[in-house]
Amino acid sequence: MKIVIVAFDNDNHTAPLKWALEQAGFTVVCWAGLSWTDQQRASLSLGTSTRLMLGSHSIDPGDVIWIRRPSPPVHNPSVAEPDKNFAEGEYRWFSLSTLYFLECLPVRCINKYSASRFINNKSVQLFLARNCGMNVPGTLMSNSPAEVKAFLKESSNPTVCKAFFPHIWKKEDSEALAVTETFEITADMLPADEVLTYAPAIYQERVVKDFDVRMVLMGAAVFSYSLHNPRGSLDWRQDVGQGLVIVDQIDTPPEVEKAVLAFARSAGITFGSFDFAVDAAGNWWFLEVNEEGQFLWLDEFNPAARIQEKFLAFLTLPEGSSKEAIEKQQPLFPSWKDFCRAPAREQVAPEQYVGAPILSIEP
Amino acid sequence: MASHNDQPVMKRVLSRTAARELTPKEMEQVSGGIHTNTVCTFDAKTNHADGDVGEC
Repeated sequence: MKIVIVAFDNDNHTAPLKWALEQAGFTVVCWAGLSWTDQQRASLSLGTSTRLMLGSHSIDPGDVIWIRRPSPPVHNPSVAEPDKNFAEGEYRWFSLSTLYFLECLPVRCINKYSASRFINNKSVQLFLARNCGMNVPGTLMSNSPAEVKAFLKESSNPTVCKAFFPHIWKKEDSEALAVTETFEITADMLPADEVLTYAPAIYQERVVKDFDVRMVLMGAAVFSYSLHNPRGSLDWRQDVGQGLVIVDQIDTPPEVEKAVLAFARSAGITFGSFDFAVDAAGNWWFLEVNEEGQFLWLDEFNPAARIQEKFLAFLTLPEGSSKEAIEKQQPLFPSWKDFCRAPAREQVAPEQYVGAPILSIEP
Repeated sequence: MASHNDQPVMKRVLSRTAARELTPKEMEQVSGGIHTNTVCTFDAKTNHADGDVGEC
């Protein structure tokens, strides 16, 4: 068995985890996604036998494929201008064919590509979460001014507005930045109707929370961490970047764990980072799940979390292994702090990856 | 958010109107002095983002 990580080897999670796996004696290879370059080519043979090559690596029965962060397909820039659109489309379709095809092979995918595409939709997440018994704030996703106004008028709780996807604006003549952030909104704060049609948004009843929870799903196990941020921000993500969050391991209420595992079955995922808000009465409110969510920052803030070792145990144990099995296996692997101290960290090339058009330049 | 029921200003989206402008201290951290490199960071000098964009 080898571990195949679909990401660049200098990706911020791939580098430490690959190093830790190799320290523990596992074979790890990386493939960043389809591109015209030698290491990112792919070949899929469907003859008397089936064979998939990702770069120079064959995918073999029993392999574990962690689809961490496939880069968008890249065609050869030397292709003639009149053929670029065609080449781009062919690369896109072959990339999709490759990623979906992994599910046809006798390998373990974390997560299956089809499941990851499905669950990355916030509407699907909220619907499944509610159906699986989780508390979900009342939500409207819309670009219809009439619907937005009605939702805000009818809501008995304070309401927040958030984007489907984060974005950064940068002034063209300076380094000043502005970042999307969840913000409170009321009916009398609404701009002219036309503005609400410029971009759809998510309007949601605000959970008056005591603290946030980041939960990491690993197959049949969940690990939860409370996030207290002294500023009391609506959205803790930017505060994490500023080092302003306190992370503590906490128990998951049994009914929440049961609901999350049911959610995972419905969605077809075995790994993901879940966000909850916990109110003063101790109720856990589902906010979202990111199946490619980052988790090593939990170790950075609280080394006792040992989330790196847990994830590697999950990756290398048979599918469906219990929480006890994961915790028993985890001492096999070095920690995030070990990686930080290792010379290997200094050898990791800086990332230069922009996975989506999250940046706009403004005057 | 400053805008109320007045005319659209510069035709900006609601999320931009409410976006958080980073303070000089935050800028310094986002631009390189960040405490952890495992959450999305953005280098304003090179316009490069790292981390998972879904978590920026």
